[in-house]
Amino acid sequence: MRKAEIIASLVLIATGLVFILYLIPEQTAEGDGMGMAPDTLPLITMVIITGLATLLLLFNLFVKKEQDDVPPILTENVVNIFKFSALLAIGASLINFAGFIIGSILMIAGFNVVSGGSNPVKIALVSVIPTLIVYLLLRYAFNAPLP
Amino acid sequence: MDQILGALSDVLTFQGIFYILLGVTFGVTVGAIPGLNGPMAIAIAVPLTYYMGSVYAIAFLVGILKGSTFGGSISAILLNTPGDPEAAATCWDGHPLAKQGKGEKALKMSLYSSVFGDTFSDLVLIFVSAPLAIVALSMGPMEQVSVIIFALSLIAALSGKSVIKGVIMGVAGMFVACIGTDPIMGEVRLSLGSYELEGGIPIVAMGIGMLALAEVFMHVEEISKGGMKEPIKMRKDIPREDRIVTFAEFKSVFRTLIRSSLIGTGIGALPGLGVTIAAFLGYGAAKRASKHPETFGKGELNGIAAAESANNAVVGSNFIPLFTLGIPGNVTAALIVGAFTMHGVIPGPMMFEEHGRLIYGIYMSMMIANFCNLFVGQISLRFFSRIVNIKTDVLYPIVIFTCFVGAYLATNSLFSVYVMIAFTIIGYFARKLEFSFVTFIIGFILGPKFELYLQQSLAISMKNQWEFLSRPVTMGFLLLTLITMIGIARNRLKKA
Repeated sequence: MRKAEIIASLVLIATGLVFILYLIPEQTAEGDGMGMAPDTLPLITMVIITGLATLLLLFNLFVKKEQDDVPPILTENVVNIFKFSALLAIGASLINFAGFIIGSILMIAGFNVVSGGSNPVKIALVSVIPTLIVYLLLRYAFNAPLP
Repeated sequence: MDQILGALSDVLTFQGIFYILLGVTFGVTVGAIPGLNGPMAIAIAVPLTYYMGSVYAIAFLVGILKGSTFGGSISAILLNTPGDPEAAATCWDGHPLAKQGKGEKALKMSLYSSVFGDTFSDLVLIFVSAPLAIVALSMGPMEQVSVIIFALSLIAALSGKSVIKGVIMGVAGMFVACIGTDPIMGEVRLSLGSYELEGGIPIVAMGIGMLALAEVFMHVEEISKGGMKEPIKMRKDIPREDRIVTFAEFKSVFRTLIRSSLIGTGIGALPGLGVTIAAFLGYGAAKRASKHPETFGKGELNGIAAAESANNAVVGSNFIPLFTLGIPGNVTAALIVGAFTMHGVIPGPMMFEEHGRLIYGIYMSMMIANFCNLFVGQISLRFFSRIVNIKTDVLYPIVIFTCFVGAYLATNSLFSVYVMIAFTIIGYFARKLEFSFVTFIIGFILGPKFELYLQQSLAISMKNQWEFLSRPVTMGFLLLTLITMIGIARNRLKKA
């Protein structure tokens, strides 16, 4: 955890500095002297985050003695989370492009295969039934607008 | 009186009862499945409530909350895998009892204790929140600022292993809440040129990503490492006395129920302490008070009663800080704030003046939800005992799809789906690195409120920040914050 915390605090410090020095001044108005300016809270919060991240870094470098046994995040974990997120983004685009029913069926089937499903009948049932139930429920019970 | 009668006519309708029953059933089902939990169910269900009346919406969510807290005990008892973290203490005695062939007895004890704890804390909420709201109404913006600082610091310090990480996440939540239109001047902040971001980050999409999807991915990883366990089956051929909780048995745990309900209610009323702590404290207190502590961990009914009544007692009292101060005590309360906001209601002491009928409606829904929990649990224990072993390749694609739909409904656009994906990644890394996502979400909810009160305070004091220190309540809360933070940090450093 020590190494992971050092990396996390470095990422937080870098992000904090980008926000403090560039994004907040660029993306928020300074105000006209009446009350609290719009950039005050974003600046204060980012300064606190950067300061605490620095403290976390120093704590890990100079105080914490524990050595890492198993790192909390492995490369395969990172690959997996981005793979799932990409699949979700593709599913969202599919629903947008092909419509709710077809897009949803394809998205659920995709996740089913990724989760270890191999039986085509089961995949078809798991994809079609929930899609139709949700579609009918949202369209007719809740009158919700769907893509 | 008119408001009470109005609330009665709102809740005691077919629609009202139907939504509560639906919520409880959905909650128990979700709670019973390992890897899914109450906050996750609430996150997914909040967007659906947009299409319901405000009383029904909150009643539905309250039903889910109560059902899921009990549901977590089902997989704890039959599978030795708690559906919710708070059901972990239930495993200690519930699972050994199930192994002795008394799974149904253990589940029934858990059900009765859950309903007892729920009802107890709901009654406390009903009797305590209105007087506290009167006190809260007498507080000005400076006092409110100090209360928010105190609550957020307490949550940040207690909800994770590291105080620094907790505070970082709380403040980061406040920062993310700044994205969008400034609530005071109307200036657009940090929108990066996206007109969708001008409206801010949708809490529902963020909640679904951080709470539901990130948790699903974590669980998928765990299962791929360790595989799924086989649950203990509830057999029909065992004697009746081993399947039911007799009156004598219930009487024997009554003191434990009262003690644990008091502990759970007290903990629920304090922001940040949470359900899990209540369950463990309730269990510990029951063991210490027992004449036979050696029976604990071996299938002791008092152990189940203590853990379950304590964790359910948190549910009702968690609404005390929300209704009286507008401060969500935990993540589910934070998500319920999202539901209130969708219906144009701002949680806080003004609710008692402006939405009295809604408040009474919520109280009634809570009490009805307790009966529904008892009813649904009593008639469907066998069904729920079967769903604990649902296959992940069937379950998770459906859960992911439901999350997608929930996020989409938050803004009726794919923008919220992309927000959900971004926060899934953030939530996943936060869990892995032990940064508290709970504090983040509560910081997000409290951010705009904090900014508004701070702005009002500065306007009142003519930008003289020393005015804060001249007010006794403000000064008291700020001092309390400092003392609590130093105390907790010292304690953690000693343990490290």
